[in-house]
Amino acid sequence: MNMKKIIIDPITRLEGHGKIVIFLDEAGEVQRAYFQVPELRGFEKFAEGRQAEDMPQITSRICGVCPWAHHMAATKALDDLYKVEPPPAAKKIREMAYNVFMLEDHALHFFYLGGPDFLVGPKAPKAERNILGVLGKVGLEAGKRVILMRKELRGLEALIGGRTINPVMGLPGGVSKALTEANRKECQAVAERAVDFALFALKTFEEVVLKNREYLELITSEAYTHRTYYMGLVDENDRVNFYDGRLRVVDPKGRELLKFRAQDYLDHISEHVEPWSYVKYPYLKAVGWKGFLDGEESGIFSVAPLARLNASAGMGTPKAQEAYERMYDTLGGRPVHHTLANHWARVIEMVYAAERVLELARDPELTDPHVRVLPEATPTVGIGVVEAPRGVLIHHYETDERGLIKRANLIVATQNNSARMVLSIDKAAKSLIKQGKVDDGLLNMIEMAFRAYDPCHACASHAIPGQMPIVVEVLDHKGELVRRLARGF
Amino acid sequence: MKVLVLGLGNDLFRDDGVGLQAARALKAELELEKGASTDLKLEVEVLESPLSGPAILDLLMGYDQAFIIDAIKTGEGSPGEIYELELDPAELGLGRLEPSASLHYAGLPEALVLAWSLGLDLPKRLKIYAVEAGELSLGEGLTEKVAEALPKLLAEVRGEVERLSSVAATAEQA
Repeated sequence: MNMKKIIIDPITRLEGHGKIVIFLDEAGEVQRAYFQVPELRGFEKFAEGRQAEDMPQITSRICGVCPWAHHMAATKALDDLYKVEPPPAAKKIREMAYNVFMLEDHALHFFYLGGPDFLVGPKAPKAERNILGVLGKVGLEAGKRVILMRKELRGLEALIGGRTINPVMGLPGGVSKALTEANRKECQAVAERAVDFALFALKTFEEVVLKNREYLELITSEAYTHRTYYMGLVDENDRVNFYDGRLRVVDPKGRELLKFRAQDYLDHISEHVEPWSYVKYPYLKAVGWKGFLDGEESGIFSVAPLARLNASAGMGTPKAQEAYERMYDTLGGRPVHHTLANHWARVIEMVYAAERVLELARDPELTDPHVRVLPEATPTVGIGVVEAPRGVLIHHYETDERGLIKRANLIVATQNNSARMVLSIDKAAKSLIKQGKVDDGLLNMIEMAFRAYDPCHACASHAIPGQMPIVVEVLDHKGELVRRLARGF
Repeated sequence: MKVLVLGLGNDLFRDDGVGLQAARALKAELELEKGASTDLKLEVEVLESPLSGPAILDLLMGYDQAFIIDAIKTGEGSPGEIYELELDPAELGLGRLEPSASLHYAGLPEALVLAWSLGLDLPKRLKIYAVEAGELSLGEGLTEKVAEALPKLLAEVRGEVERLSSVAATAEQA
């Protein structure tokens, strides 16, 4: 086959990172486009021979972006490895701390990263599409509020987790520290402010965005729409839960296809391998791999905020539920297939996280001193799941009878979204590359889609923690460089 | 005067841990000297962190002067080379913000401009020490050249802290 090739390599100077490849045919039209998400290569070997109990500490240091997600997935994998059920207070402490983290991380994304697109506006001059442009829209006081609220939330993380970053609370069968009544009161006080803060974020979004017809049209435009399956963690009532539950998958019409325990993930998720790449694209076994296509016939699924809401029957807290209904009423019912609606879903999740922290902080059982059940079983296999801010995160360990790791597998959220991200690149490429000519808008369109997914390469490429510059290289069908578009260098 | 020495990085990624190791070593040195006659005329705090971007603001608030130590990969220097950069808030004005290099997180310059714009209590002076990394792959321990650069790095940072201390002492006498 004679094809031109366009490469978008986010971090060209470092090893093992993501890359975008766009193949053109001889006529210069897009044949297909791929986005390769880097895997955590080398981690298995790194983990080999180490004690499983060290994994919550080690994996939380993989990444400065979401240490709590790895810490919690690892801790839950240890519960499973030692077949031990944490006491109710321990579960509540974990879930509360985890929701504090989700809120804090979402807030960062909402204002600093997504904000320039939707608060300042997708068509605003580049020089204004940054955090200062956001401040111009929401005001300095609001900007200060975001910083100070995050600082308070980080304070809570330190209080509950032992340290602000790289928490040390998670142990197989529970947590390392019970909470006192004074701790609980402090959590409650911060949570009350956090609920106000999250509602303020929601109001900001709804006011700026919903009154802007142009932006609403952009959200719902075909360019950012893919009809895929969706996966998310749900509680016993099929409502969104970040910490625990079952993985539920709905089809592009919103009908439940699957609901399973994380331990059975290998029965339901498979990985497609492209011959030209080491990267694997997860898909649903029940539907099968049909190529990079959307629709009911294709096993491609999506994770992260919008997918979580799509895969659920609702939110577990009142204000978040109201916001959830408002979003689906506005966008024409569940599921919503518009990638840019991820920003909306994210702010709804902020409200949920804040309300959930408050609920748990008010729970008298939270201060029960019984927070640990000692593990006694002989370890073999342990699998744990949480919803990381960017979607389903699974840790899978196999050990010998002493609990030394023989094999470790981490399926990170960004990887779960990789096939759908390919669809986004493909659509952007097809609309902006004609007869071998690359429109400068390509980079912007890809960036907008990416910011909505919020892909995180920190897991694989910590060297520039969590950063993702973009380089677009256009190569002709002989593999020679025709054009280079870059941002971040 | 409150001074912060902040080591950034990740010690699971070889040379990315250089900032953390430097901070650890400096902290140990300062602890040892506590109460000795060479007492610094400053309040010095040494922290380690894997954070990036705006999240660093949480750590920087409340100090007059900060030194940040981190790894860098310029691709041009040789491993172990030390670069110094002083940031002056006056030069990082509102209108000077470039579009973010990152899709994922705003970097330190964005974070600083943000903080200064909001009037947050941030250091008036900020100095960055960046060490050219050899390897930034999954693994523990620094590569040889970077490890060899540690004493020099520590001496540099120490020297700056002591210089500030003598300035503070002079000011006190005056």
